[in-house]
Amino acid sequence: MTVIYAILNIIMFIFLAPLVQGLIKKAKAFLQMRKGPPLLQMYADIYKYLQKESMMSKHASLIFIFAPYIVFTAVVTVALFVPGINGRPALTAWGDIVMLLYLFALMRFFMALAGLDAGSAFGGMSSSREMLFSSIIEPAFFLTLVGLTLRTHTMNLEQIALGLNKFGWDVVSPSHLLALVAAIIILVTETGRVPVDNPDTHLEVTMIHEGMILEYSGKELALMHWSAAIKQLILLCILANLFLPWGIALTGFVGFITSIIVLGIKIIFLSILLAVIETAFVKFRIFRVPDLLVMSFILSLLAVVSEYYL
Amino acid sequence: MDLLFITKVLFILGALSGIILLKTKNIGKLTTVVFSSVASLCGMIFGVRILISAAGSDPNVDALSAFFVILITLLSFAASIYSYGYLEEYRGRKNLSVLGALLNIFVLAMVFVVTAKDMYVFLMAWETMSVASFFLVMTDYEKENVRKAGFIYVVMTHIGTAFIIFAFLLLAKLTGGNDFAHFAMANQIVSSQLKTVLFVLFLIGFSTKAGIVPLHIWLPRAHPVAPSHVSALMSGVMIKMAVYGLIRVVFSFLGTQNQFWGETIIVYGAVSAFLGIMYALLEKDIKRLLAYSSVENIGIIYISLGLSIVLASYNQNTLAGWALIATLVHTLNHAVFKGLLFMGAGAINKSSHTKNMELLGGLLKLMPWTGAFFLVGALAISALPPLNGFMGEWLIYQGLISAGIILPVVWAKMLVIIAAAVLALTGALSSYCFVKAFGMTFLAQPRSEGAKKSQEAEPSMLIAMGMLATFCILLGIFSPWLVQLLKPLAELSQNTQLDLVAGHFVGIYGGSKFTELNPLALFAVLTIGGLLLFNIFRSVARYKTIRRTETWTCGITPTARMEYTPTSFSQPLRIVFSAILYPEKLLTQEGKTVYFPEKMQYTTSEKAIYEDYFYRPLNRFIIKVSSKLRVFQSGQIQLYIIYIFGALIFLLLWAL
Repeated sequence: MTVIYAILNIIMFIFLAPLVQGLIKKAKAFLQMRKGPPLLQMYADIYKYLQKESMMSKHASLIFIFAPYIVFTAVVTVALFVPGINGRPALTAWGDIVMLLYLFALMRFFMALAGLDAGSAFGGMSSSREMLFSSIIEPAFFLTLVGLTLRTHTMNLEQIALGLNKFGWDVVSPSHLLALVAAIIILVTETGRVPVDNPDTHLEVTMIHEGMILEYSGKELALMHWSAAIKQLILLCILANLFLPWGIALTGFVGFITSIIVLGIKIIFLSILLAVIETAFVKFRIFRVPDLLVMSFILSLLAVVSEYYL
Repeated sequence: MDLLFITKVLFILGALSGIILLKTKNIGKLTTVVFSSVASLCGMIFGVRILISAAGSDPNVDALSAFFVILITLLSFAASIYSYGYLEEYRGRKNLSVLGALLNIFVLAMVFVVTAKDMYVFLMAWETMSVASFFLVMTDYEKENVRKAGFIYVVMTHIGTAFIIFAFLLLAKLTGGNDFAHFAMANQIVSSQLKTVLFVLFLIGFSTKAGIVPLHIWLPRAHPVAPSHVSALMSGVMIKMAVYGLIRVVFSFLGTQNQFWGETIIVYGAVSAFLGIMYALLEKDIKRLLAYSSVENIGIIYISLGLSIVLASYNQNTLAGWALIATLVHTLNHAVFKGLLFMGAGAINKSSHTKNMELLGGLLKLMPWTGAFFLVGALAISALPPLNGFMGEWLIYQGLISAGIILPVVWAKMLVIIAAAVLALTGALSSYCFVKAFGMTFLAQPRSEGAKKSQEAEPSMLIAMGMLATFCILLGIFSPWLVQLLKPLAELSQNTQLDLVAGHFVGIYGGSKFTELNPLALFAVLTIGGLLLFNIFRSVARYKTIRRTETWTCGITPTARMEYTPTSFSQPLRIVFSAILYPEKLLTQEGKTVYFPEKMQYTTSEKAIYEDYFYRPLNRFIIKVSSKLRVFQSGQIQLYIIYIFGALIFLLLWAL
């Protein structure tokens, strides 16, 4: 049984991530009264990039060549222990909050270095902004997950999901709601969506993630985009399984199918939520973004405090 | 005649050989390096032997001292080998044998500090350590900034030593003896108010040496100007002597009943970690950046140490042992990767003749091995898996969150959780800092002629750096075994028992699994996964090779001036945290008209708030009091003889 979960989770995280990206784009297009790109567009994009030649700056070094592989490996390693289908991750042996945060930090480190490598101004600008904003959001992300730890007395992501599931509908408490709002802001930040960063354009005014991968082409670009999509799906699954912990840990074959359907509904709901946030807000002026991030930190701090006092 | 004695004798011989052979050109340097390397090896073997055979094998040296001996000698081994190549920079200007001799004396003093069993040996060794490092810091005494740095260093370290001497004297009077065995009875004999007084005195004294804000002002001035292997030793080992002192004082002498001590240490640690990394991010001198980063890491060590004291005061002995071991693991890890980074900075300085990152760049192609080792150090200090920095911080996080669950008092729980949030923030900021440090020096194009002409470092320097980089990786993968080795140290906090399943860390809470981490598995997944991915993608893609062209900069040829510089890279931080950093900008333009300036000068600077609100008022106060006291120093010898006579009469009357 664990082997089935392992295979299904790995397939979901790696191969269904582009589908979720397509879904968000379709939802955004619908809200903007457009048709939008096809649902499977990202698969076509990845195939196209794999057929193209890679070019790199002659000033860039080996770090530029290896960074996409390191980034993709790190994000797939995270996908191995994030709760997916039925609240079970691919590997149940290890994996906790700190490892999640620091594997994402490993990804960012190499993306930022790759941005600096070509010696262009776009890359440096994006790298500096990305490193600062992710530093400010890091304590918020940490405290949000710690709030859940304090309730379930475990740092392991799967055990947190199972522990919260046992509460049933009682899981909704002031602390949980505050953490949920903070988590939505974190989701928007870490996936690089409006109002923090604009994933659709390549203007230097609006880019953070896109700026760091600006110099990439060919198979490396495919890896970078794919890693971003997988990271997005990981964060959506964390929100779906940890913050909306219903419909997981169901037993039997019927329960298994039900849990897949419930997870699908939750991911679709969260994707549409992301699309609504992207359409409803404009991208903030770059030095107004920390205000939003600090608000997320305050909310998560309040979540921890209310966990203690209520 | 045990190995520790041999180690000390070899260091003394090394120092003597350097002094005796000071007229020679090469032999003096060679003998000092050989003696210090062999002595360090003996010290390492001695320390490991004591830890493996558990406490009690040598009545004079317990497990804590043995661990610190390993720390000192590991880094001094690498520093000695490194100095063989690095000292060439000073050839012709300075006497290399004397520098080698001073290095031997410095390390010897540190070994004496951690193996001292009574007050006098400790204090004499402490002072020798400070003075030897002062001489080493003042190597380039012709430059004014070096003299200023040395002055501030010697003043601050003596202020700290004064506090420590006073505290030791008070402790000796209260417990009626001079050696540590007598001091260990202080827990029962001394009243708790006096214990708090002693704790405060020791804390101030040791924190001056450790470099805790606001007593850290000597650190970013002294570490950059010293020779790089000395900076590595000072930053990696000397500031940890303060951590050794605090552990010895609190856990062995004073006892851990008072949770306020632990909470104070956590608060100081958190503040130092945050401010340290902020100031590191503003620096463009690479060694000053590393010095401020040491302030940050000492803050992290203090957080973990304070946590273990708080937990012990609430009788949570298992977790207190875990936190203490986490402190020591992070101490060792920091020594290894900070030593590596300083040595890398020294190699960069030696070959490009500048420490200013604004003038560096593109060195990865010119110095590939140095760059690779520096990258390992940067990854380790940013606590990225699977290296040793991550393992140490993982242990500290687990301790903090477990304390957040277990501690009975709510505001203690809040303090610990906020400390964990600060730790998360500083971890991410240090990753920002080292992306800047590595990216600006090694990537993109060189920004000066010196950088363009750089060459790879000498073999001895590369061997030393490679050794430390390998240790970074090995200490990361095999950290459960390291923790297993350190288990006897948990006995220090009164009867703890840590259960570690062989090969990976498992934390248990209330019978169910709290957390788990398998470093070896993580390393295997990352490396094997990475290699598999690389091969799969290269076979799936249509083109296997990569074509190299010029960077696109809207049609013009990119120059080095188009890159991001260290100042610009940290500009977002300066803007967002301007309330703490007080950045000041000055832009002056010259030209025939305002609209077409011909020359521009842009200056940014940051005000250090502790200097304005703490040190300047303190200095003004001291100078005011001193000028009032100057009335007594008239210069007439007759008046001084009257003072002596008056004091004698007064003391005779008092004795009667």
